[in-house]
Amino acid sequence: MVIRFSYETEYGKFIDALNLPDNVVYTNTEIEAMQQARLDAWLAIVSAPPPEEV
Amino acid sequence: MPNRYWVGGSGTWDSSSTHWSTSSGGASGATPPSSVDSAIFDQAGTYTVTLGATAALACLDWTVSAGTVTFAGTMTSGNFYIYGSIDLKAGTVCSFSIPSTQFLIRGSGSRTIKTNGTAFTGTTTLRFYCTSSTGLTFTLLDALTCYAVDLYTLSTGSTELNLNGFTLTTSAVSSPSAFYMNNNTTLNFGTGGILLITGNGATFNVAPGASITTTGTGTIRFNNNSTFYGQSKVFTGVTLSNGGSGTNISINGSNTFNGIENAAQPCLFTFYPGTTTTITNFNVNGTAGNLVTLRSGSPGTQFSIAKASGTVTANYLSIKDSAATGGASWNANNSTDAGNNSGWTINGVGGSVTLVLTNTNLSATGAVGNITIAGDQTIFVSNTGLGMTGAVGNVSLFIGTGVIVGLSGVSSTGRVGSVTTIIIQNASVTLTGLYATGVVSNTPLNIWISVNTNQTANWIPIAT
Repeated sequence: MVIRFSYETEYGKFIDALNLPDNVVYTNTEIEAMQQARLDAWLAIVSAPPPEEV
Repeated sequence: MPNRYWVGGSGTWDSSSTHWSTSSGGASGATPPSSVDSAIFDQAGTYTVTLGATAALACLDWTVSAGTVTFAGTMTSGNFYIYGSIDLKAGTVCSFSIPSTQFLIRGSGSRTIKTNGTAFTGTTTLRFYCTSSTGLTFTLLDALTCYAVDLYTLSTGSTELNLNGFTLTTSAVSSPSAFYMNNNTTLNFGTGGILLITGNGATFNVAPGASITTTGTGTIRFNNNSTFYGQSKVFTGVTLSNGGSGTNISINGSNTFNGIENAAQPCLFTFYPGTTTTITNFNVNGTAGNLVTLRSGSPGTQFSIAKASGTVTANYLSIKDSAATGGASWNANNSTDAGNNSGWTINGVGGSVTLVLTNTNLSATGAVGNITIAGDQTIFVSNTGLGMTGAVGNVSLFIGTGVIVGLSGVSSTGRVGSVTTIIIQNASVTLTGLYATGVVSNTPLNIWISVNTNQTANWIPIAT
């Protein structure tokens, strides 16, 4: 099961998907929590200072 | 296809690794995977796989299906070749760093990459590299976040990266390129895909002389000071977006885009002198006090922006050394003409006026911004002496039930914006003596309007 989702943020639009197993049932709350976790992890990266050049 | 399964917890992945088995959870001691063996990490538990500093690693598919695995290490030489698809379980950590051009996702055919939220946080460039005349297509199954991406083709065939409508985020700074396209490569956005480049000093590079293609519809957005080296290519379906407040995007080459836009202001677009950037949509606007600046990379030498038809109406720009061409009508309101421009109609930056109805003697010697008269009340503004020597912005009348409005004596030697009248019912509006020596925008007055003929030849006909 693929659930596409997107968020508009000050850093741009984050478009992602949850690729979930078909044999597991998730509640809407669980799905929303997974989506939020994805967003939070992405925001932590894009809002961080850029890495040093190598 | 033979598989290799990682067993025994934490360890180093190199040619002498003892952590491989030919079966899931089986005895260790198998040879490490090669280009025809999938590398599968399916054991429970938390462990770290360190990439050998000088190792030559390869696998077909790279799959993490269980456990919490961290891939770490810094390669000083060697390489890591993946000949198949990538499927990483949620919670996987990829913090390894590999010298540029030595992490190659190569081969041919159709492949996928599914990260399940795993970001490549090390300074590793993901190089998608077709090595066969049959071509290589790599399709994202979810968002991908990494340091940098290269698209390469060895000699024949072609390499396509299909964003499939997802966000690809890269964070590299000046070197290597945040995104690089070599010869015979395609960046397919799918529907609405986004290439987000966040590094300060980052570059988007097309190899000189390369044949490249963009398909689908999507956005290349820069959130920091960056340079777009497009090599004068056509970027079909692509909108170039300046996404950072205070960010300078330099556009090098005479490129063609679907559109150009800004997502934050103030910001700066710098165009290489003598180039022509051709667009279909120009959605570049600042706000009062936060202008979007258009400049040439060489002050005094013009750059061109071309749009074939239609009308561009931008706001709050500062424009210098710009030739607006292509057949469209180019207008910049509330904007600053910093010199050496052509093809633009640039109207001054408007200030703001607070209209106090009991004080009807209002005048200004500079540019005047929007004038709004609002309220469900009786308003009569007559003989107000509204006189401006600069541009006048929009005049909006929001009129409630039973309101009687008269507006007279508004004059300007500059441009007058649109006059919008919203009438609910039983209102009576008289608009007289509104005249200007500059251009006047459309005035959508439809009912209960009488218009004085005290107008100059520069009036645009008023809809009645």
